[in-house]
Amino acid sequence: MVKMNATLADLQIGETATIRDIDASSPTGNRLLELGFIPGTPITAVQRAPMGDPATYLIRGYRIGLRRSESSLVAIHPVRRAA
Amino acid sequence: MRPVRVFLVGNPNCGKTSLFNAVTGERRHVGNWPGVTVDRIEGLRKSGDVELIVTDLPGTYSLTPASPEERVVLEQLDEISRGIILNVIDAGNLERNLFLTMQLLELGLRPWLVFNCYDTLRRTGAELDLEKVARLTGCPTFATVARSGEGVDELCTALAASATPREASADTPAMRLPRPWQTAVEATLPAIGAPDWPAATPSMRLDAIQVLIAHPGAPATAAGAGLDPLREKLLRSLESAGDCVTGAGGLPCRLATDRYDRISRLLKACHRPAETPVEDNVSPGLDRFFTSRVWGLPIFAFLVALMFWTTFSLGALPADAIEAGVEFLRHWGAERLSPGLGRDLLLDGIVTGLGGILVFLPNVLILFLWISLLEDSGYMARAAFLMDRLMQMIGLHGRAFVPLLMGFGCNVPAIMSTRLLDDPRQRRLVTLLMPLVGCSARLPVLVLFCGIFFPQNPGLVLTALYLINLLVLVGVGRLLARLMPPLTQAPFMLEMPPYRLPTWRSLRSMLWDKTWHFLEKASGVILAGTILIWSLTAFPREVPLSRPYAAEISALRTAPATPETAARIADLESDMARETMERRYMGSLGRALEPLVRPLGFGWREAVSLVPGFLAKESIVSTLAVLYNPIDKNLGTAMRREGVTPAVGFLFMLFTLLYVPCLPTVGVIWRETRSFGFTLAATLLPGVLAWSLTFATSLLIGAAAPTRAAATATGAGSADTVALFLTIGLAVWYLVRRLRADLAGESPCTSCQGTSCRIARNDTPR
Repeated sequence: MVKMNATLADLQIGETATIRDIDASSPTGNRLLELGFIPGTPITAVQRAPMGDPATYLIRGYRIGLRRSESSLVAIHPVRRAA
Repeated sequence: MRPVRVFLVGNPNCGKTSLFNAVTGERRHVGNWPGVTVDRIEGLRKSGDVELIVTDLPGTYSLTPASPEERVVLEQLDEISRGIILNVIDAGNLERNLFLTMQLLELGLRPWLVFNCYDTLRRTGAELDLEKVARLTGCPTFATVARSGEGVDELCTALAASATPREASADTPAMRLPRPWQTAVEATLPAIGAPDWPAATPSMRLDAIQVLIAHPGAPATAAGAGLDPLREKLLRSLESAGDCVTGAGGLPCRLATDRYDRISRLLKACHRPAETPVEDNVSPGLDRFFTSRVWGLPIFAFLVALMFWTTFSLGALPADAIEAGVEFLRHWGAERLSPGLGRDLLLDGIVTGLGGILVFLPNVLILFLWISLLEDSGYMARAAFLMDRLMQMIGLHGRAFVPLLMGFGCNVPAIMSTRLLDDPRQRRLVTLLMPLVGCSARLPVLVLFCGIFFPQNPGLVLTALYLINLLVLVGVGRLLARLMPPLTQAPFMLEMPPYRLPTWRSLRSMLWDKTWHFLEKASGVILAGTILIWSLTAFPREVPLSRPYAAEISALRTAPATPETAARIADLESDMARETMERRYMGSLGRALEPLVRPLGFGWREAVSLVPGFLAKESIVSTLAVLYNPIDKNLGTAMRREGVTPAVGFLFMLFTLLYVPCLPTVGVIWRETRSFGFTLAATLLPGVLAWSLTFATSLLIGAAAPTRAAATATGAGSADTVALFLTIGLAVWYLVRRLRADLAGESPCTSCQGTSCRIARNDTPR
């Protein structure tokens, strides 16, 4: 995925990316910051729900479920696919 | 005795309630999903000459609330700061849990840091230097395993011996706000009308921080507007921009980053992670299975089906023994007691009535055992995750699934747990749906009728009924959601806790609590109801009968005993009993109520039994047992003899499943919503719905097999039916209108559900 404005919602299952920025103008963005979604933090997409949404992510050693509407608030650095 | 006030504060699901239980010896409900505790709960512990007054608060990730349960902590911040704050930290998830700790320290508070679930940390091979944490933060530190009670006594001893120092000692600046931030916050205080830092309360200090970081474009408070120069100065004085992109989210991001920086500095100094990071590898393995894209939903459906099936089949195993016990008691009483009204009350009223429902205690316990297993294991959060998309289709949030599933146990706590939903309209929607969730108190009726009328496969019929229940929920939910779309698209952010094996201790205490509750209910409300019902069947003592039964019977008795005369006697006796009861008060009451349910095919006994069902649903069974007792000691035989067909039995189960919330549920709806109209609507809507649905079903079934309803309904007269339908139509029309107004918040409402609350909710940082 070589997309400059990639968000967490674009992250494929099993991939790990680094958080680049977060839209903190919304309450949800603020809450994500408090949960540790701050720039520079690595995050892994773990699993998608049966109907494609929400998905679970692994961040700072815990798992959290987010819908596309939340994960798209989190900008990530373009993923370099592991060889 | 010196009182010491202690407050438990921490992230959701970090074990606050377990610790609370361990300290106070209470048995509060604990589950393994975020948001079990929704209100403050107090408990006591005496230790020497000190009385610890311990308060358990709902879990919160941060002091900036996102839902009403989280707001509880914020609202009581100043009160909390006058006592001892026990900041419970999940030792298995240090980084995120310490965020709240950083917030508390910034406000000048000195929480006691309790590292709970310490065994998880030890097991992974990691180490935490508690003394060093204490030194760096200036806070006392403790390690506990609340589930087993480890470390709890040490904590209590320390609490009992404590004075309550409020301010953090000045020599721990490392964990507090960095200088530029502190200066800016202190400069913000006057702008929000607060005294300067030393005199400001913790909540004022928090307000200042929140107003300061509100980004310039936000519809901030009046005070926030003049702070732009201050914010720019702060941004300039902070070191390199780091990773945070300045702009809209600049300051909140900077502050959060700074807090996490402080956390990582603290952990770097005190925490040695496991050499080979042993991530809990059970949960990912189980999750591959339970939340799989392919298998997740089938497994979920299987679990729910298994839950209801075992509830019937396993629950039926001890039923025979209990029934035999009740029968023995009745015989024993009949032999020992002298005949009279007192004996009748005891045997035909109390023993018959209470014995009738006691049989179902095992079923109820098995259902609760399942719900408790789902909660304690951590599966609930997965269920919410799996169901989110489906729930959205009926206008609900995935999280709303948890209260709804709990509702199958008991509606009352389930309605309270709707507080974990952020959107006020969502909360109302779920509250409105809740009485339609077939709680365990309705189970006895279902189990009884399934057993009597569908002896071939009672478990299947029971599961089918719950399936219909689910379909009704979906249908009504969809309809209501269309009438009142949610105010906000509430975000889905749900932590997936690690799976845990439920402890024997918690299961045992849950089973004990439920048994106790059941017996308490049986010996209170249900007993009173049974006595009342029996009295109505026993008075007036002398009633005119259509023929001299007694004389005929005694005449037959003197005749030579042949099988024919014996059968004749039995028939006459049961006819006499039936006619006597029909002419007593109960019969009049039944006749008065019967027209309401006659179109559904129910007889007067069923009509009467629904009345005490409003107090407690179990009473339906005890009432039926008392009313059918004169016909035959076996309820099934008696009902069949009175012409209740399997079709009517099915309709009655359907009606019972939906018809009205019990009184405690009405009470909790009122307390949670403080709206008279809404409470009324939530009470009546299920009735209208149940009636219409049952009637529709009776037409469907009735076409194939004419039931007793057809025979008696002809006598009702078409004018009555028209009037009845008109009334029902009017009621529906009124309810829908009333509901719309209520849920839209247009009706005057004193509680916090109106527009003022909506603005506050949208996180204009307070």
